[in-house]
Amino acid sequence: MATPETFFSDQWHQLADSKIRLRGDVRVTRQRYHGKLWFLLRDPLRNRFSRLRPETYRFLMLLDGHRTLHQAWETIWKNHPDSAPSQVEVVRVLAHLNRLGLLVSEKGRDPYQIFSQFKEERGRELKNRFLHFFFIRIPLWDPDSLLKSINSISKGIFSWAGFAVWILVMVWGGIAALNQSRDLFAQAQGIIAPSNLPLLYLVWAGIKFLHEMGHACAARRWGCEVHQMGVMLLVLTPIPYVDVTSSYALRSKWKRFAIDAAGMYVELFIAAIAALIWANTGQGLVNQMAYNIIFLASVSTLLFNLNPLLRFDGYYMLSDALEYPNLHQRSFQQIKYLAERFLFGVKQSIPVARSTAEGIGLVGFNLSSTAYRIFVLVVIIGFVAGQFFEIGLILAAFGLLVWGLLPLVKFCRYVLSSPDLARNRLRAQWVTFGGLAGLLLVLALVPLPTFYRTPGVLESIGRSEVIAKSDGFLLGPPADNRNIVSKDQLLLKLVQPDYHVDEIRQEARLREIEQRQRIAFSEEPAYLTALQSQADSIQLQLDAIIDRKQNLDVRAPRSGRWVYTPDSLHPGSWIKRGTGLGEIIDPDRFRFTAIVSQNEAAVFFQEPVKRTSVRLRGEAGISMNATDIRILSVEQTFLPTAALGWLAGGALEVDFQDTSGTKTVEPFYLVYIELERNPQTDPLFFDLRRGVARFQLEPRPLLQQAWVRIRNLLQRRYQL
Amino acid sequence: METPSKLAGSFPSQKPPLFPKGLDAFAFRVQGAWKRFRFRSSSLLNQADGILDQANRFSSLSDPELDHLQVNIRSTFQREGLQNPTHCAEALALLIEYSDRTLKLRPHPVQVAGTLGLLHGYMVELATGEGKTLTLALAAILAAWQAKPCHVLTANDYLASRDAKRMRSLFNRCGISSSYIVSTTEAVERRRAYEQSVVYTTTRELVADFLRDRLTLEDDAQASLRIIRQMEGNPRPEQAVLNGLHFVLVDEADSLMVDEAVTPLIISQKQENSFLNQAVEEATVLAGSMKRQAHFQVDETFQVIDFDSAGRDYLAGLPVEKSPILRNPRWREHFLRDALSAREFYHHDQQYLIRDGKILIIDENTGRVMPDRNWQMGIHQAIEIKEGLTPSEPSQTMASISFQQFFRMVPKLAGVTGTAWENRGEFWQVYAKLVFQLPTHKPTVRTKYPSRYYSTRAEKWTAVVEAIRTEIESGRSVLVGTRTVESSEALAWHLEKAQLPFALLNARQDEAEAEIISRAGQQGQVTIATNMAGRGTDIQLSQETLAAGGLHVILTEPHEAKRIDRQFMGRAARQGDPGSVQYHFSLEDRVIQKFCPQWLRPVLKRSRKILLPVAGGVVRLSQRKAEAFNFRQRVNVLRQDRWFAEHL
Repeated sequence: MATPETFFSDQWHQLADSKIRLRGDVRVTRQRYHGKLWFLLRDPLRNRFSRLRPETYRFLMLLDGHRTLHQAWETIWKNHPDSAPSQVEVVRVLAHLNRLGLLVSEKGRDPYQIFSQFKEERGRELKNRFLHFFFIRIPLWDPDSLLKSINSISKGIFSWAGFAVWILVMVWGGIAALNQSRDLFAQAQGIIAPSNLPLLYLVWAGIKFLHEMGHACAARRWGCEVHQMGVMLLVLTPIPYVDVTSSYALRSKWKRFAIDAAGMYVELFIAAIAALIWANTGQGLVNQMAYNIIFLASVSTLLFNLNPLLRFDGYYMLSDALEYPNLHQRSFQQIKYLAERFLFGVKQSIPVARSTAEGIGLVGFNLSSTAYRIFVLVVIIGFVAGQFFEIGLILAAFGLLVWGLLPLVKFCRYVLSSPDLARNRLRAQWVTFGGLAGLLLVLALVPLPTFYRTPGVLESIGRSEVIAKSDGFLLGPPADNRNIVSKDQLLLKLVQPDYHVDEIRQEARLREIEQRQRIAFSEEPAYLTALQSQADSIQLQLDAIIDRKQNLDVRAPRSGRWVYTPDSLHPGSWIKRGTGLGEIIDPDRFRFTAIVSQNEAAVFFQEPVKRTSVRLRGEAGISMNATDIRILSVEQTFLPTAALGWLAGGALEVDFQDTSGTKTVEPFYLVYIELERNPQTDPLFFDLRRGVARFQLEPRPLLQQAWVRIRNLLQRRYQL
Repeated sequence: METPSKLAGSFPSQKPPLFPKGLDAFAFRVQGAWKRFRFRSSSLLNQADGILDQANRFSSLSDPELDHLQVNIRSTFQREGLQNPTHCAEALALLIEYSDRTLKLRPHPVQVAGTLGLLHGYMVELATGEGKTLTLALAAILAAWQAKPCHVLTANDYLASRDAKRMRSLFNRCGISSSYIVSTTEAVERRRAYEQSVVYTTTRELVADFLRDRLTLEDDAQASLRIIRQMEGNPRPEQAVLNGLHFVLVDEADSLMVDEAVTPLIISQKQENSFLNQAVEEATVLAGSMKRQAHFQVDETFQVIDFDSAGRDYLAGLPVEKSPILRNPRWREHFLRDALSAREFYHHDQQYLIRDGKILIIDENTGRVMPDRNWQMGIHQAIEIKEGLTPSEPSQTMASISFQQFFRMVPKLAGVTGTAWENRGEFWQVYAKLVFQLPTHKPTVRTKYPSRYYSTRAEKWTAVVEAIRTEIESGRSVLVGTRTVESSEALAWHLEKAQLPFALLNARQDEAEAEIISRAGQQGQVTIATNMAGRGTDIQLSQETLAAGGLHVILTEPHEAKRIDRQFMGRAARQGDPGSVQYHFSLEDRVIQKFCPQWLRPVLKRSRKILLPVAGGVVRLSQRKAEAFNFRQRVNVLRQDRWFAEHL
């Protein structure tokens, strides 16, 4: 505080004679937080709560409509001087309560004021709605009468007996699911298939409705009124919600906790039932539905509802269990306190936390929940942008405005003109703007290593194809795939019985010609030349047959790694002469071929690459340096292997029309990288093994890097 | 909220708009800047020239002819009012002629332009000594011709009576009744005075009567309720003093609407509150044992006492006997803080005087004693106890209003002053009034001697004494401005030692004010004055003094606003007279000590001499900070009003 709190209020005389009291229908409950007594005032019309300290409440009780404000104030000073409020405090509390419409005075209120207040409140609501654009609530229905009529059922559900049944069903369902866990996970693959989505959403909305009804029933069961149910647009996706704010008034924190948990209680129960159905039905719609329900009711519950970092059930459970209402707000105040106290040097600042541990917890909570929320938003916006780029852009701009710019403006205003900082403003400004400027300077000026990553494959350069030189059936399995073989080592054996027969036949024919030559030699010398040429041709045929027979044993033409496609070499299959059987690859002569898409080529080609390294998939720990890189400056449209394309799970977008899966949508360049080998650490090299090349460019400031990337993104979208 | 008036509902005051906040405030500021940018004072001056031409045509008419013309002009003017520029010009031309014949003063174009500006509801900046009194009178006559109440507000009683008397003949000639009200005016007389068409008074009196009327009328102030009550047949006796509120013309507008804007005018009744006095008394006793540095720290800029943990422990251990409030640890700290503040920040002869066993507050800006003013509850009593006086019973507020709030409620408001331009932003934001500057009628012959800066106060006094000696030896008269009563007396002591004759005018000597001022223009006369002489004071120079070069004004300490320095300087070289001014400031002066930018403080503390070459800049920076600080304080009051209006 810039000026210490004063005791007397300048405005006191305007109120001193008025007879103010609390509205008659305001409900008051005693509540203990951490053993400390508080009074909760509940406005039944608007379902809003105010928390008062007992001293303040004691004073309010003196305002009975007969005493004037001044009399009440004097009375309390006479009777309880130790804890009596100052005039300033009284005015503040009354202003707060009046603002909430909880006070009545014998004079009645200025109607003009009531209207202007109403108008202002409307405006604020609208503004809030705009600021919480991602979480708009639309109230639709007052479920109270329904809840009252099914209260007996609710009482059964939320009782110890009900809980026992719940546990039983949970265990039973859990066992059923565990027994078939293989199937459970196998089916998960197909759950996000596009055809499944509408059904998935409907089921989800239904489950969420039951979830909310769980909260509502539990609240009603413990006697709280529930008057508002409706639809919340969570990032434009409608889901049901229920307002159980009235549960704040419950004395027991465990009841409040139970109401917060009731949604998940119902949802998990549904999941267990669904698991039982799923386990006991065959393929079909029912089975599929049941499966979806298990998935949604358990996974979404555990991921979102239980997570205290988002403002869902988990958050309220945590804040009730810790007896820490307004946990989020208070954790923020604790951070504000730390900043004021230690960064800005405001000695008067008062911490929220009562102990160091609590302080650490609060700060940790705030930081992690903020980080998590930003993360979730970025993921959602990224997802939307992937589908509809423009909408994503708008959402991103909006998010930046609401979570980036507005808080920044607020913060600057706080630093520049908050009365709390009046006496420490210079330091606060230095720390803040100096810090911000420093950060900006670091981002804008300090060059940081710039990396550019791109996918690619290993390609061997020295390779010889092994071709079947004879026809034959494959005998037994070939030599082990991907093994190093030496020259002439047997790779596989073929059998072809015909060769044997042919050989015998040709040999016999040859012997016959020999005999006939001998006869001709003595009797008909004129035939000799003809016979000789016949013998030669038969000899040739025989030689060929022998050669093929020998080639039935396929041997390595050179030493290297023997690689073949297992599918084409089944034992017993017929191999035609001239078929490629596999390859012998030189294990030492590999290069890495990296794919640089056209859009990114500019960044990459502009300046010299300082260092290049390659990591192979599956062995990301090992980085290999390049000895030389060569850019093939011709646009390509066919990938060296389909493995790099989308169809095979790679990173590059390929044309779905093209069945080979190698034709890319956008042209690209190839970069050949010669790798430095190191026998000790090198991972296994084989042809077409996927990997990532990392080019280290001139170090550049982060802002510049970001700017280049954003520009590229926009350029790609709009061909600017 | 309506203005109390005898004529039910005749002159309702406007409900002041809520002070804008957030983007609205920003948009409003932009709007003001744009309007200021668009405004051309030359158009008003052209109109004024036209009106003067028109007036020349009347000069040939005889008095009865002129009076006959008046009847016509007045009736058309009353019908058409200010909306019709031709009638307005005609009426004004007539007034110019009247002024010439009755007062022997023919308004010059600048004054006429000023009158036009006032009638249109502007804040007119008319250089000091340009004859604001006549400008206001002309505007007041036209306002009164519309048969609506017109009040002219001046800075103090003296000026109210002086101006009213000086202009009376003109008013009479125009068929307008006039009166003045000062603090000593009795209730009966007051009521009669308010019935006149033009009433000269001070803001304090008008606002007090306004409040008092509202208290007596209570809900009768609401015209509708009042009429209903009359219809029921039991009207209340008429007790209201005011005749309604319509035109309010403010002289020295910056003083009343800026400097004093947030001083609340409080109607209160004394009420026994032993409860509080007991606490203050005991706290003062307890505070006696506490020592600076050992138990608490003092923050001069923000005038705050800080307790460190040792101090808090000490506090907790203090033996409280009587007061229940002090038994509450929170409020013990609070009351001890008040007691210590009374000791550390409020000094005899600087912030207050003691007269007849009572504390009299000296106003920071005007240097005058503020008789009815009290400091906030607790502090005031603590000071009384410190000075060994019996603590006054704390008064219970019945009603209160700040000048700012009051002026925001006035339906037709306009003002004139010598220095408003610096606060043009504030006039717009707070009152939605546009400020414009008018050139001087004759070129000023005010020479400004180069400002002198000293590192200590002692050096300053020696130099000032020397400067005074040189000037009076050359046959001129000298007016020396000091900021506090204390420093005026310090200078007096120095002059006495130097055996220079002088007259002293400060809050202590305020009875002799008129006499001292009347002698101040004599040759060789030295007058030491606090800021009391800073406003509206017209020092008549003797022939010899004029021949020797007129009045020389020395200002010995910067004020919190540059504006007030300028006002004081305006005492020299008025209406074409020769004159000169000079600043003699020291780096020990309070404004610099209090408002100098924080980063300069270490230099100021250790090696003040280095700063001498740039002392002018340091003074300006400090004043800027002070101005901004004070502006924020005033705006905060408005924000608080807004908060209160919204919440309760």
